[in-house]
Amino acid sequence: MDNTDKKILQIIQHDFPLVNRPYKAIGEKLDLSEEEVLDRIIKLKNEKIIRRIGGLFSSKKLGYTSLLCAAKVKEEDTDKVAGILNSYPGITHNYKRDNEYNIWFTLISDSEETRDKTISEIESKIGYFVNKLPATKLFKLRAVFKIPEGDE
Amino acid sequence: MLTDIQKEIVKVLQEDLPNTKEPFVEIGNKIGISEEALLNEINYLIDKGYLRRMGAVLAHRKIGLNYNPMIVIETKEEYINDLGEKIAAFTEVTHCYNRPRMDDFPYDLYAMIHCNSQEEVSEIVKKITNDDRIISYKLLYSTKEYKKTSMKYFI
Repeated sequence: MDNTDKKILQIIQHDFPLVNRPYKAIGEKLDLSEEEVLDRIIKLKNEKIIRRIGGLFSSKKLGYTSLLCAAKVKEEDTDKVAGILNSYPGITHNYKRDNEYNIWFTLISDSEETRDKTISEIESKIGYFVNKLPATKLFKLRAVFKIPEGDE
Repeated sequence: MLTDIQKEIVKVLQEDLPNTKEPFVEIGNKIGISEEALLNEINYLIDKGYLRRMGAVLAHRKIGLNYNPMIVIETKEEYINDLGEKIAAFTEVTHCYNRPRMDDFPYDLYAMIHCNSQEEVSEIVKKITNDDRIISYKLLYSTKEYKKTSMKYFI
């Protein structure tokens, strides 16, 4: 990844141009040809630096409900519990963290009823209590990163 | 409520954009509308807040952001809003929420911080926590990523 790649990433992670020839529009900003921009983006996708280019939706506006959950799981059970959690498509993020509350995951559901049913089901499957931590207020949700400078 | 065609657009846009010069023409063809109609619908979805943005989702570790703690902060009820706004203003902070306390985990504010060094984390944490309104705080680092995906809606 060189500085040109970083400039492209900086542009497309903020706002992808909603025009007929988006790669041409990006190229015009950086003095690059359309072909070069597209080739570099394909390379960045192949290297999995770009996970995807597309829409970032508001789950709430689409009628879904999102929940952060935390559980205290015995160290020897963590991988097994995580495996069960990962089998749920609504669980989009799942991490082990260095705290007594060591399993943290997010669950997106299409209704509060589905959500509560899923949590009960998960609790009986994993054998641990799941703490629900709904967002009572959102101050920021914008996964746009400051790209570190310097060549790699 | 979204129309059927808008739901189709959501389904297509939660996947990766095609790697062609005219990606919106291709998507329009796929769902049977013109490029112009598609772009109008996308702009409508953005205006109404269904679509937060169109853009690239980056793997933050691959761009060098390897220090990504979650900070949790204990404060008083009356300071939650002001502190939340203050923390949200940092570019290194991508998520910031107020959440209910747990009995043995008395934190009110949760934020995700993304940095490229331990020093940078310390610097940001100092800027955030050097504040009389904060009673206590803790940094939680992830030791294992079990899953990280985007939600698939309307499937």
